Amino acid sequence: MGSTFAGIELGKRSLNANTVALTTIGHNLSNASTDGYSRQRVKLGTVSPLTDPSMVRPERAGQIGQGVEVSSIERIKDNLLENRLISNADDVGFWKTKDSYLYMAEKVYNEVGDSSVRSQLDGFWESWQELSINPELAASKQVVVKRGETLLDSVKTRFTGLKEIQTMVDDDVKVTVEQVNGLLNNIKDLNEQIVKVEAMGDNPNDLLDRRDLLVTELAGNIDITVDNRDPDEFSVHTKGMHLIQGGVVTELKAEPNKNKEGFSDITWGYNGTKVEPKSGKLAALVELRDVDIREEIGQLDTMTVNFMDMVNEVHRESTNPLGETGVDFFTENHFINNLSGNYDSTGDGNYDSSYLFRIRGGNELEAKEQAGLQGTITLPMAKGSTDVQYFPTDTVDDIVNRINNSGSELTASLNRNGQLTFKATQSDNPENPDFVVRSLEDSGEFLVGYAGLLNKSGAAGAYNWQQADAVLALQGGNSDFSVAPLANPSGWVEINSRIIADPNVIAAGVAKDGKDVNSGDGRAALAIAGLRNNNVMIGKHKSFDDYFASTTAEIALKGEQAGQTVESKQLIMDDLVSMQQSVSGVNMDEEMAEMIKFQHGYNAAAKFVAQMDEMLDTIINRMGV
Amino acid sequence: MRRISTNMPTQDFRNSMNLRNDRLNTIKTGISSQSKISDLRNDPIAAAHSTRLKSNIRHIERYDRNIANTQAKYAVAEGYMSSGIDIMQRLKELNVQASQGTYNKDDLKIIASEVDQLLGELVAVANGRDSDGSTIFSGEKSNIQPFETLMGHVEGKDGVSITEVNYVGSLSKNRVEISEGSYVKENFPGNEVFWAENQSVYTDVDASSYIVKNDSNININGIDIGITEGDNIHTIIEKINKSDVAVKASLDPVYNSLVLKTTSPHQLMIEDSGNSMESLGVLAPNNLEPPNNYSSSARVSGGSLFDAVISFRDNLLKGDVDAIGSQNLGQMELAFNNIVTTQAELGSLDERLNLRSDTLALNRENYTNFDSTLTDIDMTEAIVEMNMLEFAQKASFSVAGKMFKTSLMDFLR
Repeated sequence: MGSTFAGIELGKRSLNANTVALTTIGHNLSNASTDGYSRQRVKLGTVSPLTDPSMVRPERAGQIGQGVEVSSIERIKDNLLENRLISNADDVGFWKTKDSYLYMAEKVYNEVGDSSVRSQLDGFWESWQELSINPELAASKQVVVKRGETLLDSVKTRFTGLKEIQTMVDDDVKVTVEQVNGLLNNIKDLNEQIVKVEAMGDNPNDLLDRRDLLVTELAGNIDITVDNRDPDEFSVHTKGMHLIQGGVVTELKAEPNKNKEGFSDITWGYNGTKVEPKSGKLAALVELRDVDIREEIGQLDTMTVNFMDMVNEVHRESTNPLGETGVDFFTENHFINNLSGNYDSTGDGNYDSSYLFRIRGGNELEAKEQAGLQGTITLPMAKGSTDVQYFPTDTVDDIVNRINNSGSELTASLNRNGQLTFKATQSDNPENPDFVVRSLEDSGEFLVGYAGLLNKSGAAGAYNWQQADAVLALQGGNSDFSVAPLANPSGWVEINSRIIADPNVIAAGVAKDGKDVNSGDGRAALAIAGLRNNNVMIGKHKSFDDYFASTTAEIALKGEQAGQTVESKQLIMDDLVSMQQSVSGVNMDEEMAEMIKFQHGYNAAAKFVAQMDEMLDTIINRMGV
Repeated sequence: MRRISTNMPTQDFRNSMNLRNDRLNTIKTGISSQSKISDLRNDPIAAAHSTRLKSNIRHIERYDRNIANTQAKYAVAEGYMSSGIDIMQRLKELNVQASQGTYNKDDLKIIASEVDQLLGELVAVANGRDSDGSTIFSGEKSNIQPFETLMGHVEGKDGVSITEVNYVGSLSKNRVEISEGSYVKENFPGNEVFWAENQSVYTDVDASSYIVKNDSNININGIDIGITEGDNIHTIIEKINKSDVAVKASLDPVYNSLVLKTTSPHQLMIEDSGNSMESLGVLAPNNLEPPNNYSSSARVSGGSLFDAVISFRDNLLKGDVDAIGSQNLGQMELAFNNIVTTQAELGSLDERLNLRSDTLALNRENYTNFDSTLTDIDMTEAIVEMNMLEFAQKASFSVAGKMFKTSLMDFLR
């Protein structure tokens, strides 16, 4: 026999369950626009019916249903989709960051326009042309000075612009590392709360949503994988290392590196080893700072140092109206103030290396002439060295081209007099100094007797920078060299202050044996103006035109790539978010329908309780007992 | 069926609106700046081409200006040459007249005074200046008068008159770049324009056993000829003849001595950084500036236009009709021919500049066109695209406005 009030109890359970369901609908409706919120559903189940099979069960028909109860409140979420979101978020973070900083770098170029370094340089060459036809006019010299100043202004503006972006990126690295640490700590806190709630057998739906949101945000900054296998220990890894393991956090640190201009490396907080993220915002920042922007500055430096050296080389060999030769047009700040480029790299008080940027042979060669010699030239590479062979049938031009195509960090060219010139490029390996000729060797006679550059063939006569007075390996006479410049020449390049004070110091002509230069002689000016058209080797680029065309194309292509990739990655991301929304997002109409359902359920339960009440009323009050 | 959450349409609308706004912005900046490339990334390849083209266009403009400048100088030079030719014409007439033998000494003296005046005028012409105040026929020494006159007393004439005219300008010619790697000379040294005869230098040193002791450079008319230790006289002659200087060297068959002759009428100027020319008896050890550095034993012949006129005048004063009719007439003819030839050369150089200027104009137009197709915006295309985007924007806004027009709530009481 069942209890008298069992019906009311059953009705109450139903009322409760429907209320919980309605509350959850209310929760869903209120959080419809909350970031990362997943809709929740109340799972209803039947209460265990009467009676269980046992020896003491009453002899009657069973089982009698005991009504409804809330078995759980679940959030509706596709975890596989969530993992795809996380693995896509780092790509979006990576390309978004690259896109915005590369856009800034692009803008520094001022191309295609009349205020770019290129057009100022054109103006500079033009002024030398003008001087070559009117060498006697003071006005033409003034034009050269002013155009030169404008050019250097724009070189410096570009340099500062790039440098500023680099510093900004570095600041961003520091801030982002802090952000990552903050996120990690928040996730850890949530982990602890979630484990506690779950231990009580409840579903911490809202906490889980918040954690998912933080993890996605973290994924935008650094490439992570999420490990959910142990429900008590939610872990986040990057490159196989734990960032979070349950309640334990491994923080990152931004550590200034004095070998990298004080820019910060990302390291593990506990042991200081380097973290090299593959993707995400941090990876993009590091790549921008250490590769993209550094290369941009390097390209600009390469242009500046070559152009400075070439103008000075001609200008030094020319004579000005004051009868002086050997005057520099641009002030050169050398890496070291030593005429032979000797440098003490270990700081032990003895010279141990030679820092030369350019070495030049004394003999005047003809580009189309066959040297008729055979041998192997050994040139320095980023790592190790490369061999360039030459044969009796090769012309000088062939050999020069072969050297330039060898991928070595030396370029060869013939200057206006046909003298073979070797110039160092920026070095790919950060351990080697930029713009320093590191080695040069010839097993045959091409560089020795023919070009008049080295004293001896073979290893015995090789030029090697890791010794003091390496210049002794060079032949005397007409050969020439210049000492390596101070780092970042585009930051300090200046016109000789004497020239600014008196433009008459500019040499437009060439005089012999200390004689006075003829006032109408514009040969030197013409030679300088001619630098623009000749194959002078600006780093790996053959001429100034090549240099500007390919550096412009390079930054533009990088920008284009970043812009397009970010768009496509964002589209994928949008799709994934939309798919997630399709599963987890709140639909108001749906909630309304649910609401009607539970409202009716509630009403029905209330009706049922009233009915029970009426029945009890009949028994208690009307039976006339 | 795909479940649609309430926020999805809003989100999709926002995404597509952002994309469209970005495109609209790009097109609008393009239209207002008239450029297809407002950011380099819009078209990297076109941007790279455009940097080259813009640089080239700028250089062509420079070459154009160089050409205009040179042509202006040529025009001034031609003007002076024409007056020189007019004077020479008159001098030739006088010379032919005087060689008739029908004039007496007094008549010749009257002619001489006219010749003297014409000589002065010729010197003035040769010392002519352009609008910048630079002298034209002075080679690179554009700040000085190329012809210096010595005044003195001339037999048979009162007062002082010009007795010698010396060229003190330089031999070198300043060059102008008129297109990439192509040059023309900008000026005409006076000792080529105002010269009458081929010049020659005969030495009297037996050179057959001479061997060069040190490497040095011989500079003939501004061109360096390197001679090296151990060269004999034949090697030196070979080197001089192979170099691009209008001088022929040879060995005198009788005396075995060095002979230098110009192959066109101009002055011969020799410098030597060593002492081989001295040893060969060409130059004196006095280290003076050319042309005053010839060895006293060397016989130098062949003179300038002024020498010819001075000699004509002197012969008129002396009344030497024979010399006037033979030597002077010949010299005058040579001088006249030379200046006319130079003027013709000037004319052809000017024509070359005109042609080059035409080519440059054509190139410039082509480059500008190409650059324009690469970087300038196609207005029709841009406006059509902008209108399409704006239409799409309107449509999407109107849809967005109707997005949640009806909801289940409207039907619940």
